[in-house]
Amino acid sequence: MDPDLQHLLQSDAPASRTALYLRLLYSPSCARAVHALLGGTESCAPQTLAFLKSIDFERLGLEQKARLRNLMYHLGEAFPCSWRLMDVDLRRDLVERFVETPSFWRFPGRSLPESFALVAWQILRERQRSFLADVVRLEGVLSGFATAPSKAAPWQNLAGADHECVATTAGETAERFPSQWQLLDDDSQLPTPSSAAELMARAPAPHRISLTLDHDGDIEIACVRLAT
Amino acid sequence: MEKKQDQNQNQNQNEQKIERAERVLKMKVKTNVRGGLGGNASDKEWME
Repeated sequence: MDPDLQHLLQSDAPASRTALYLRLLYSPSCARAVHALLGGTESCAPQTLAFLKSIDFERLGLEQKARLRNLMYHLGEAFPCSWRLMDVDLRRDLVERFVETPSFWRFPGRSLPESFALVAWQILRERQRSFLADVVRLEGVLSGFATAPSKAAPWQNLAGADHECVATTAGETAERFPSQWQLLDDDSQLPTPSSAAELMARAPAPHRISLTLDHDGDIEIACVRLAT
Repeated sequence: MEKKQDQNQNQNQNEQKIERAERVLKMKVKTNVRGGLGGNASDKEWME
């Protein structure tokens, strides 16, 4: 069993029960583990056990589906471009995997969308969908940077992400990362499904993506193709 | 000494070459439009 979950089950603190309940509302694997525990011998704090015995797991499944739909909808607001580049099955798959990771509970990102992007970026790269992975990353960084520009970017701790936080000569805050893809289309907009298909058909080439927070509080995204 | 300076110069030129921009595309995003989920609520409040 996941050690975090085990800790929540064994702790008799009300805060742990609240955290456990919140997990149950989102995570099917957590619900399965808890359901199995009720018929087994795994140790559990007495009040927590009484609370868990009162749960209707069939209704909980319906609640989880509703919350997943809601989460997909809200993430879609932060990922308008990425969402249009994915079919609904891929969106659902990524969000389902996100709620099952510690990232969903520990908030490594500066915003929930950035935490999602940290997970989705790695999954999409493993599936060799690096263009889409980098678009998700761009929108995730944009959300995190817009939410808390003074906080450290979580990408700096992520292996292979090569994320840099820099101060510009004009005293503005900026972040940048490399990509093998042109992530803004030829009209300087985030890619649409048709422009994305065109961009992906081009040969990969080194680009630097930078986000700069200007003095008006707006963010400028720059996509620089580097000469090699 | 001179050889070392030449090497440094070559290295600097190489680095400048690597970082030279061939094409730059820019887009501006209003931050009051994008950002965290759920309006002013924190992410944790939104989840609950």
